[in-house]
Amino acid sequence: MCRLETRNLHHRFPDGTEALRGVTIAFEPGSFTVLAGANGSGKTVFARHLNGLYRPTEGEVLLDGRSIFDDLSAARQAVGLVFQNAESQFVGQTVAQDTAFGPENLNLPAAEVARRVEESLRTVGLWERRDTPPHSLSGGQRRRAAIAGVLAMNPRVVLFDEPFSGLDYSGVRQVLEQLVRMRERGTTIIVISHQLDKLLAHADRLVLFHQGAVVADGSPQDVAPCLERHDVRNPLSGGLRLEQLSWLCCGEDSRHG
Amino acid sequence: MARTAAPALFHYLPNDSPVHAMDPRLKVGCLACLGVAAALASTWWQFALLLAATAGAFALASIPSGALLARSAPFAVLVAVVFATKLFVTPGTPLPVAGALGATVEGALDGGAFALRMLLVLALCTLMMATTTLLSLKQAIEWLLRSVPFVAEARVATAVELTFTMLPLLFDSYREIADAQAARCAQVRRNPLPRMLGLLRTLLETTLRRADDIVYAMESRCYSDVRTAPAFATAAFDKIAFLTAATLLAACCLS
Repeated sequence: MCRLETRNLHHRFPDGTEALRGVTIAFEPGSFTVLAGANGSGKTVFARHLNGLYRPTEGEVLLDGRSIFDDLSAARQAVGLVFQNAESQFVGQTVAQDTAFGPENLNLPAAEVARRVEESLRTVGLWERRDTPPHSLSGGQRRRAAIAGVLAMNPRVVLFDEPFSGLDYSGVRQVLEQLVRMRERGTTIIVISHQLDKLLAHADRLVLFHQGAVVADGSPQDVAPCLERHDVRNPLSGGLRLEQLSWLCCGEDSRHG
Repeated sequence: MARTAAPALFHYLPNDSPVHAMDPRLKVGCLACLGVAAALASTWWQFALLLAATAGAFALASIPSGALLARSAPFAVLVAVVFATKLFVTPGTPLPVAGALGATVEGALDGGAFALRMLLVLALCTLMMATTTLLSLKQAIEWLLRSVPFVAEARVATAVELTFTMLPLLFDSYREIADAQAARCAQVRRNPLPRMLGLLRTLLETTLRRADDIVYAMESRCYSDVRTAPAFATAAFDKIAFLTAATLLAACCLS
C-alpha cells in the first residue's frame, strides 16, 4: 500500500509566479493516472513536489498519511521520478553504473546493489547493453535506461515527465510497454504528457491542469470533452473509442498499421 | 585484444588486461610515482628506464598504442614548440649546426629533457584514462582522500567523476551550438567577436541548465555521501607494479 496525496499544494517562484494554486489530489495504489495540460500549467512543478525536489509554499505532500519531508529519503525511494530529458538523469559512465547510482546512495550491500542492477536492466531489456555508455544508446533505450535507474530503487509510485518526447514510433512503444508492465505488477503510475493518444487507452484516470490548478479530474472518457477548452488536443474527438487508441495492440492498431 | 576500432584520447578502452584489472588505488599510486619520477629525471638512463616502463605498461594493457599516438599529434606540436623555445633561448655553447641562429647545446639538452617529461606525462595520463573506468577512479580518489582532514572525500570524488562524465557532453553542446549558428550564416559576419560571445553565452546557459538538471536527478535518486563501499581487490601483479614504480621514483631521486 502506498497512497500518495497532496493537500492544498501551492508553489510560488521567487519572481512571484504562481505555479501551483491549491492542488488537492490523491493517487490510489496501483492506479494509472495521466496529468495533462498546456505548457506552463504546472504539471512538471507538481511532479517535482511529489518527489520532494521542491518545498511547497503552502500545503503538503503526504505519503501514506505522513509528510514526505518527515523522511525524504524514504519518500524518494517510494516515489521515483523519470525526468523529461533522460540525458540529464545519467550520472554513470555505463548503463550498469548509472543504474547502481540509486541503490548505492541507499548504502545497500554490494551484492544487493548488483542484484537490483541486474533485475532492473533485465526488466527494461537492457542487460546486454550494461557496459554501454548511456549517451550512446538510442532515444528509446535511453528512456528505458533512465527507467531502470528509477526501478533499481524499488519504487511503489513512478512519475514520468513527458516520457515520449523526441521518440520515434518504436521508442514510444518500448516505453509504453514498460509503463503497462509496471502497472501490471502493481506500481502506481503517474504520467505527464501532451501525447494523450498514446496513453489514454491504458489509463484509468485523467487529470487536467490549467494555470496551476486542477480543472478536471475523472475517467479519460469523462474528462476528454474538456481538453480542447484548455489547449489540449482531445484524441477522442474524431469519434474514436478509447480502446482503439492503444499503440500496443498490433492487430487493433488501425491508426498505424 | 582491444575492442574499440577508433579510440579517442583520454577515453576508457575496455579490455581484460592486468593493467585494466589493477586495484585503482595502486594504479593512482603508480601514476603519482611515475609522474614525479618523470619530473625529477635528468640523465639519459633515467629517461630510458621510465620510457621502457611506460612502453611495457602499454604493451601489457593491449590498447591500440599506434592509434592513440596518432591522436596525440596536437600535443606533439606543443612539445616541439617547447623544445624549439628552449633550444634557442637557453644560453650556452653554440651548436655546431644552427649555432648561428642562437641554438645551444645546453638548450638542446634542456629542451630534450623537457620534451621527454611532457611526453611521459602525456603517455601515463593516456594509459590511466584508457584502462580505468571513471567509477574506479572516483572510488580510488575517495579512498585516498579519506585520510586527509577537512576534505569531504565523497563530494570531491563525485565532482571529479561528474566533470569527466560531463566533458564529452559539453563538447557535444559546443558543436551543436556552433552548427546552429553556422546554419544561420554566422560565419558571414566579418567580426568574429560577437559570434564567439554568442556561442559562449549560449554554451554557458546550456551548461548551467544541465548542471541544475543533474543536481535534481541526483537528489531524486537520494544522493548521499555515505554510499555502498567499493570492494577493492589487490592482486600480486598490482603490488609488483607499484613496487616497480616506487623503485623507479627512488632511482630518479638519486641523482
